[in-house]
Amino acid sequence: MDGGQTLKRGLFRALLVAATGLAVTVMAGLLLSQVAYAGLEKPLASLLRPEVFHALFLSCILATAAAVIALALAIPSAYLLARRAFPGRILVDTLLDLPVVLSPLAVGFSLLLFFRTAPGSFIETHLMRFVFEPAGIVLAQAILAYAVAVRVLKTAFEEVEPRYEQVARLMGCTPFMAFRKVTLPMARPGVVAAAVLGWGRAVGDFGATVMVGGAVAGKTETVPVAIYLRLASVDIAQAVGLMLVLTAAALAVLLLVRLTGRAP
Amino acid sequence: MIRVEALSARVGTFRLGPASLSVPAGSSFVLLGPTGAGKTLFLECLLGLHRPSGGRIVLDGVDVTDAPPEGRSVAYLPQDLALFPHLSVRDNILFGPSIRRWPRERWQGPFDALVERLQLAPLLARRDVRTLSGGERQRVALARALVLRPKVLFLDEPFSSLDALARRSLQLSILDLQREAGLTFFLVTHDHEEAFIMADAMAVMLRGRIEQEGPPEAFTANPASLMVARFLLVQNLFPAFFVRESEGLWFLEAGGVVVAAKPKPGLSPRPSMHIGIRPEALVVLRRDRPLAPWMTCNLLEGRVERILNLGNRRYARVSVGDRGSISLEVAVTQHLVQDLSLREGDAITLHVRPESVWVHWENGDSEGAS
Repeated sequence: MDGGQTLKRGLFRALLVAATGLAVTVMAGLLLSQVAYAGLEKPLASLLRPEVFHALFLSCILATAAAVIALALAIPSAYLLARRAFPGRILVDTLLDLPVVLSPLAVGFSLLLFFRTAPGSFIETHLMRFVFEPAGIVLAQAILAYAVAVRVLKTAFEEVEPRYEQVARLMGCTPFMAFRKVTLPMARPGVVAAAVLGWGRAVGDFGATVMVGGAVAGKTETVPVAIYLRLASVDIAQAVGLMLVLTAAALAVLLLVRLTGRAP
Repeated sequence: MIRVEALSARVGTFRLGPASLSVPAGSSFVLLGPTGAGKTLFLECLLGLHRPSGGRIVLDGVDVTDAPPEGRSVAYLPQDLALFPHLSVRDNILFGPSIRRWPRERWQGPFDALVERLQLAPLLARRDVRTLSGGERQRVALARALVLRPKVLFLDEPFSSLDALARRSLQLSILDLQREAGLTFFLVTHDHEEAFIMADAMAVMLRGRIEQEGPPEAFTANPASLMVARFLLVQNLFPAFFVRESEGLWFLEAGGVVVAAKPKPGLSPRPSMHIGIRPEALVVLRRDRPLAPWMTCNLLEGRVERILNLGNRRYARVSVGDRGSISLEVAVTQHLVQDLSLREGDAITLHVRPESVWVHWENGDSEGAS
């Protein structure tokens, strides 16, 4: 091998390492800057205050409810999109992708507008109140989580060969049993990833949450909303404490997805 | 056991059928055809995995044309076996009984018998079926299919992923199992050799249609059409011209070589035809021995172009005629190659009986002669 080729290979390797190193430095820098600004003692101490604890608790409960609702709807629709050909499938598929691309603020605002229409008003008046209520936050977060979950699940179901279901059917399974006993267990890593990523999307949302739920302290104050409120009142220590919690949750979620992705 | 009447189906621009066939109970039936002929679509119709657009399917006297797969009481061994990766070996085998909520006393007998017959005992504790070898996976999939005691087992090229030794061993052991249990087999394959090993009866499917159905011997001795002959006699099939008829024999010229064929009674010759000769029907004559009394025609002088060594068998490619205008493939044994010191470039004489020369009209009509 001549010197020129060796040099080119060395340059290429250096380029890869430099780009990755830069990205890692930026991410780590973001994390460290949170601690560097306010230290660790004050932010962590602020987490013990009742209103902060309430924001954490509310965030967990609402995001979990949103993720459960999103998954319950995403599993059948992802399976339908993965397995069945029907007229307008591409249109449906594209429409369901919309919340991934659309700003969460726009999703939240669209929800607010919906509740000003006749059907929306009827729901608000006679069935259940959503606007500026925790239920509204669950609805907004579920829409965002659903869009993420349906993408992950569709790929997971597509990766399970239909042949497995066919064999199960010939051994006595109904279509639902074949799905429950064969396809769903085989797509388990995808289902776990969809649940975790959906939960992560919901717990970290600010735009849709604040639009539908408002920023009512003690009522619709999730962690991102609480961070916003603390920053508005220049309570940096509490804002950093909440950001650390959110960052830790995000890291845990991403790590979990990677670990479950490797599971059979 | 299986009766298919004018079955037709469509996938995109591909049309299957109308195809009809009949499989007697307890027989091993093979549907043979090249890739893309429609075999798997035909099989999927029989299994209820694809809805036919017309025709009728009767299994064990019951019309199942519109029945769902779970309502057909048949077993299926697909090409990729489709063992469930989230279940252990034991749970894979017992998947059917557990779905049907069979009590233990109902499945224990067949389960034990299959474990013993297919030597599965050392594998039962394996939790991950992906760690099994190809042959082991085949045996587990077979046990999973048979533990439900089906009357019919459908097999879709199930041996294609195995090496030659494992394939032959499993083919024979499955045949033994089929005969012992009196099962009906319906095997789909593109592999000629596999078809002839496994078949009590067979059918050839080409371009979505059943071109010929009958006992295996009929396919090599008397292909029903030019298409079937092209599929089965690929090596030695040539266009030929009718020259004359004499003493019940037709003399046909192919590439300057005149070959005698014994036609079927009642057939009339046409100017443009095809002749086909199986490699096994050609005999290399020894120069040091006198000709047998029946060898009065079809003595073909040629030259060995090449000896093809396929591992377990050999073929000699021999150019025949003044200008070496046609190339015949001749089945030869290792013993013969050594005994005659057969080498490339050697001049040899071949013989084929007139009744072993297959003759067919150019247009591929169903009438033929042999």
